[in-house]
Order: sequence, then C-alpha cells, then structure tokens
Amino acid sequence: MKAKTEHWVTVVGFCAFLGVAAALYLFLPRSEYSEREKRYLAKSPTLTIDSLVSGEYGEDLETYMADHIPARDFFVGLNAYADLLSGRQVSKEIYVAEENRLVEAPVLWNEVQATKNIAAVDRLAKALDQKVDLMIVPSAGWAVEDQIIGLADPYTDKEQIERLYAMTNDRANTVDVLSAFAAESDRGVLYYKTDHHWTSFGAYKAYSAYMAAKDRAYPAAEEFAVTVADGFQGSTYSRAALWLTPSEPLELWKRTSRLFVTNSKTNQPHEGVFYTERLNEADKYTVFLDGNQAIVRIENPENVGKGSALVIRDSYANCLGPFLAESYETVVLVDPRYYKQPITELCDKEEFTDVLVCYSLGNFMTDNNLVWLK
Amino acid sequence: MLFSSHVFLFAFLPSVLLVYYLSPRQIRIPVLLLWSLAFYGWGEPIYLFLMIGTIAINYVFGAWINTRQSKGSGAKGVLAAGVVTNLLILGFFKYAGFFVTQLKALLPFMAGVKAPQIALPIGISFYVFQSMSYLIDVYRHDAPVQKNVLTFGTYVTLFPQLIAGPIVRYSDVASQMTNRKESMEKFASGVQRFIIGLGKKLLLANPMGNVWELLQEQNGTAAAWVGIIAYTLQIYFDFSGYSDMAIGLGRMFGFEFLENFNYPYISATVTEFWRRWHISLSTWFKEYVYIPLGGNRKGLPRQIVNLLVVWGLTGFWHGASWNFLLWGLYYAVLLILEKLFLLKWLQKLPKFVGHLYSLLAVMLGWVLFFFEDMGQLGVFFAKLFTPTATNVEAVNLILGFGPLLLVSCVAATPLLKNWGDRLQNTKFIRYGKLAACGVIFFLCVAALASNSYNPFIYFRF
Repeated sequence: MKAKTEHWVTVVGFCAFLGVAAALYLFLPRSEYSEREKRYLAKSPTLTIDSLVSGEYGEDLETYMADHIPARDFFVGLNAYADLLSGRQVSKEIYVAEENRLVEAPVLWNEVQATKNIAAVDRLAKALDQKVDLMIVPSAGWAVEDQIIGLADPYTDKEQIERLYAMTNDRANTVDVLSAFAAESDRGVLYYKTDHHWTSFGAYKAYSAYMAAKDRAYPAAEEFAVTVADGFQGSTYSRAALWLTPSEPLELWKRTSRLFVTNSKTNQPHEGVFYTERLNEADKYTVFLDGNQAIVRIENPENVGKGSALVIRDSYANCLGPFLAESYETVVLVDPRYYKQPITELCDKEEFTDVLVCYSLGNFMTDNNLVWLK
Repeated sequence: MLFSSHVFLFAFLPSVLLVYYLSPRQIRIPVLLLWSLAFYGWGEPIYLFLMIGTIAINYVFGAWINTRQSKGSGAKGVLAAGVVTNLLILGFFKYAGFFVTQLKALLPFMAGVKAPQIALPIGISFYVFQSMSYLIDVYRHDAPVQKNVLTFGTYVTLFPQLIAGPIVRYSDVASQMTNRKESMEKFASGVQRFIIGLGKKLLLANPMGNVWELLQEQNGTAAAWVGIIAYTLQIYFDFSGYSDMAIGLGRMFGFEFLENFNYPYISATVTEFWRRWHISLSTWFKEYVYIPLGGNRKGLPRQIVNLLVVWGLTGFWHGASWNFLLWGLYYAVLLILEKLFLLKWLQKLPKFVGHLYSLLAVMLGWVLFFFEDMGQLGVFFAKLFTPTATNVEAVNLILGFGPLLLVSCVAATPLLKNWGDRLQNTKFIRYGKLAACGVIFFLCVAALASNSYNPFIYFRF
C-alpha cells in the first residue's frame, strides 16, 4: 500500500518534534537557577567510568534533562491548567479562588509539632523569666474560604488556633488576630492574591490588635502614606504554575517617622524599612526588610523611652516589624530558622519590654526550629 | 530506562531512529542490538553481563538442540538442561531472597544464614521467558534455529518489549528478525500507538495511582471502594499502556508484535478475562506448561491439578511474595469453579450479572495483588466490607477525580474505538485523529515536565 500524506505528516511531525527537542537540549543556553522554584537546577552530569558503571550517570542525566526541558515553563503551565480543568485542584497544594486568587490548601493539624512548639514557647518564657505574647496568624485560604472555586477541603484555622492557645494554659498572652480579621467585611484584602503572606493592610490590622491588647498607642491607618509597586507575583503563583494569573500591586505603608534597619547580612544601618531596589527582582516580597534575615534590628529615634520589643518570628513579621517600630524605640526580629545563638544572650545585653512569638499557622504546624530556642 | 522518561524520549529514541534508518539494511539488526543493550544497561550496567550471559547460554543450547535433533537423539535432555538453566537464573535473581527467608522461618539451623539481597534485574522475568520459548520452539520445530548470534541477541534484548513485555514467542517473530519491511504506514501507525500508550501511562494511570494513594490515607467504605476502582484502572492503563508503547515502537522498526490486552474489563467471565488480560503471558503458560502437562485431555481431576499448577506459577511469576501466589491460586479456584458449573449458571442469567461478577472478582483480585503485607491486606478487606462513614476529604478526592475516573472507565472499554471505527474514513476524520494524538502527546510532555517542577519555597517563609 502506498503511503498516504497523513502517514508522512505523522512520521515527520513526530520525528521533527523529537529531533527539535533533542537539538534544543543540546544547543539552547541553560539557566542555572530557577527564580520561580527558588532552587538551583541540576548541573550537567560528568561522564566517568565509575558514574556510568554504578548507574549514577543515568539517574543524573534524567534529573538534568527533566530540569532543563526546553519550554519548561510552558509545559509545566499547560499541565497545571489541564489538572485544574479536570477538576483535580483538591489534590493540589494550591487552590484557585475568585478574583484570580491563589491560596494554599488547608493547614493540617500536627499534634506532635504543635505540642513541641507550644512547649518551646513555654521554655522561652521560663528562660527569659517573662511572660511572652503568642500570635498565630490564620492562613489566606481561611480568610477567603467562601470564595474558593470548585472543591476544597475545609479550613479549620479557627479551631486549630483556639486549640493551640488553649494548650498554653495562660502561660502566654495570646493575641487574637483571627477575631480581628474575622470582623473585616472584606477579608480578601488582608492577604495577597498570589502569595501566602498578609498584605500591609493585614499586617496593620494584626499590629493594631496587638497594640490594643498591650494598651499601647498606635497610629491610625490614615496616617500612613501608601506607595504602590505593581507586578507582584508571589509564592502561590510560583507553586500553582497557573501562569495566566495576573500580577497584583504590593503596597508600602510609610509614616513620617525615620526608621533605621540593621540586619545580620550587612550590619550597616539602612534608612527606611523598604529596600526598594529589590522591587526589581523576581521575588519582590524581599522589599520588606531585605527578605529573611537571622536577626533584624529596627530603631525609631523618635520613640525614645517607649521600650523595646523582641519578636521570634517567621517571614510574616517582615511586614509586621516596621509597624511595631511605630510603637517602640527598638524592635528586634529573630528568625529561629537562621538564628542559632541562645536568645537568652540577647536578653542579657538588653532588656525587652515585650517578647512576641509571631508565626503563621502553617509554619507553626511544620517548623521544627522553634524547639532549639534557648 | 523507562519510556516515560526524558532520556528515552529526547535522547535515546531520536538517536536510535536516526542511526537505524541511516544504516544499510545489513547492519540494522546489530544497531538495534547495540541500542537495546545500552537501554538495558542504563540503570544497572552490571547486569549487562547477565544479559550477555543469558544470550550466549541460550544461543549455545539452541544450536545444541538443533545438532542433537539432526543426529536423532538426546535433544530432549539438552532442552531440559536449557530450561533448567534458565529457571536457575530466574530463581537465583528473583526468588533466592524469598526462599532463604522462608527456609529460615522453617529450619532453626538456618537462622544464621543471611538472606541474599539481590536487586531484581530489570525485565528478567520477561527475557528469561522469551529465551525459554526459543529453546522449546526450536525443539518442537516451530521455528528454525538462529545461527546468527547477533540476531538471536536482538530477539532477546529488543528494547521495546524488554522490560515489560509483551512476551514475544520466538516462533512469532523468527521470520521478522530477518525479513521485515519497514514502511511509512507502519511507522505512522506505530507513532499513533506509542502516543496512545504514553497517554494511558501519563494521563490516566498516574493520576489513578495518585488518587488510590491519597484515598488509602482516608476513612470510609466509599473511599476504599473508589480506591480499589482507581487501582484497577491504574494497573490496566499502566500495563496496557506499556504494551501499546512496545507495539508502537516495534512498528517504527518494522516489527509486528501480537496484542497483549483486549479490553479485559468488559469480560463476562473470569475465563474470558484471562483471554483478554496479559495475553502473551497466559499464552506462554498455556503453550509451554498447561498443554504439556496434559491440559484438559487427561480427565477432570488431572485438569484441576494442571490449573492449580499453572495459576500458582502465574501468580508467583508476578513477584516473590506470598500474596502473588495467593492471587494466582485465587484465579485457579475461580477458573475451576467456572469450568465445573459457574459458566453454565452464568449463561442462564442476564448478561450484566456475569459482567458484574467478573469485574468484582478481578477487583478483589487486585486487592490481593497490591498488598504484599498480609496484615494490611486484612485491614483493607475489613475496610471494604464494614460500612463506615466517609470523611469530607475523601469525598472531595472522589468528586475531584470523578471526571478523570469516568474518562478512565470509558477508556477501558472499546466504546471509543468502536465509535472511531464507525466514523467514515474521510480525510477530515483521519486528520482529526492525528490532531488528537498531537494533543495527547503535548499533554504527555507537559505531565512529564511537571514531575521535576518543585518550587522550593522554604526561603519564602
């Protein structure tokens, strides 16, 4: 039988696809680092007798080719949309909500980690000989649960936070951010649409709730001037790989007070809490306090005599810390994931009026660095 | 190397196709042999020695049988020696650890012996069975002896069917090894078949495996049933997808392998199921074990014994663990019952009863097949048959995967194929099918690319 045109089309199409892909693998320039994944991609494996014989070369080459497939973002996105359209979002880490919002799937209660971390907070209070404040921040998904499109597992942030607070047995002052957030008519504005963090507005709400609980003065929201940086696409955007999701503005709230920041990376005072040059980077969230640092000190010379706050925290406090500096002379932020010295040493050097442990619920349920607190 | 890997799709396959078609006809077999050996040695190069040894041993035994036969005597003994050698190879690499562990439990003096930890050489169950089929086919004059060791080596290692079948019997491909005709039409149909197989694996089997895994962590009777339905679908699409890819790749190089699956889940009896599931394996056992044992020609008691032997072996072939033996014997019992009276009963009942019974029997069979740990097996059976409420997460998973479960159920029947065959053979339809294959292939590459996409967000928190 004579070959028909469609046979030619099939064969040539298939071979061309494989051939072009193979050629692109060989000749396309390769990136070493994936901004979206925040990781270095696999390096080209070196062929040695040993690596070949052990089969290691084969494995490494597969990892390498998988990391560097031409048009990787396109294919990853295509797959993400195919999965979404087939209805499987409930099995994924990220859910889609109304208004192009991407939120993390519900945090699962982790009895072991919860017990350990609450005990760590207790130990910290004992070591410092001071009652500490505990603030657990609910997740973005909880805030917009009724706006999630399609199937979603239930968010139990309220129950989990209440349970955690009950576990402290009043040995810590618990800060009820959740109720303050629940009172908002539009909870969506408390969190970014493409990132798991709270917005500046959300952080301000948490700050005011905390200050009210501490009977401290705090400026009204209207006192802040807001500048807007466009084009923010955060962590849930990267993780969902639904690339057509539009970017969103990122708000920087600023008052007249002059704040000075020293972080463990440079050890040089920086004027202002915003590192605006970092808005040009892929990860714009680092505009707040220069991203994650082991220890950050914010000084407000106008607040002399208003005391100091020590915050044991995760990245949510990158945005909260600057607000606290409006009410204290000094705010010291310590991230136990990077800071490995004893906290007691810090407290020997200076007296802290208030000690706050501030974590997102998701991190509090998974982070195992808190147990090293001394 | 797996077909659904980047190395295979974007390095191995383009290079073997290129070199194969650029080579003159005389050296195409050696080219296939060379690439097949590379394919085999990719994961565990050390087992290349085993492969080459297996080829050499069987080549020599084949020639020896042939010489003995031309001399008139002794061929049977040589055949027996050859078969035993193959079984020893398989026994050592696949079953030694299992047997030593069992003996240790039985015999106190073996307590000090360490069970050998042998990594199962990939595809050994398949290529040892192919080698045995060669020796038996030569002995029976079903196929001529292969004089050329390279051609014989190619038959044993041919990469499309090397690691997961179909088990190609030597008599079925003997003539194709030397006289086959590659053609544009065959190549094109091979491409389509390969893509359909890849689609079955990446777009249906993997998600079904995913939901089965997720549902095992949830509670409730419904979760257990939907879970085992998903596993039933996963194992079919995984295995038949692999066979489709093998058949498709074979066609790209001019080979025609026999079909390995024929919509097994539409069977009305378990007997029919085994005529439609992994056909090449059942045929192998029928041809080389069941019939030589006397099959059904020596009276009912003997037939029952034969069935037990064949199905015990079939079960054990799937893995060195008690549950596989149990799974095989479970089918022996069902097949014996069907032969004794069940088939007659089923014929009198409405057709759907037979389908329901077969599907249920097969699904419960897969439960035996999945759980290697007898304790877990019991727990899962209890879950299936004790009514308990299903939690909301499980309901969400069932609903979320619902569309894909439905698509998979339909794809496991010949509905789509029949519909496609009934369509008029117009240009529009033919190109439509081609376009569908293109879309499937793109989605497959997307699924493959996504496996490596792991946003590392630790630094973000």
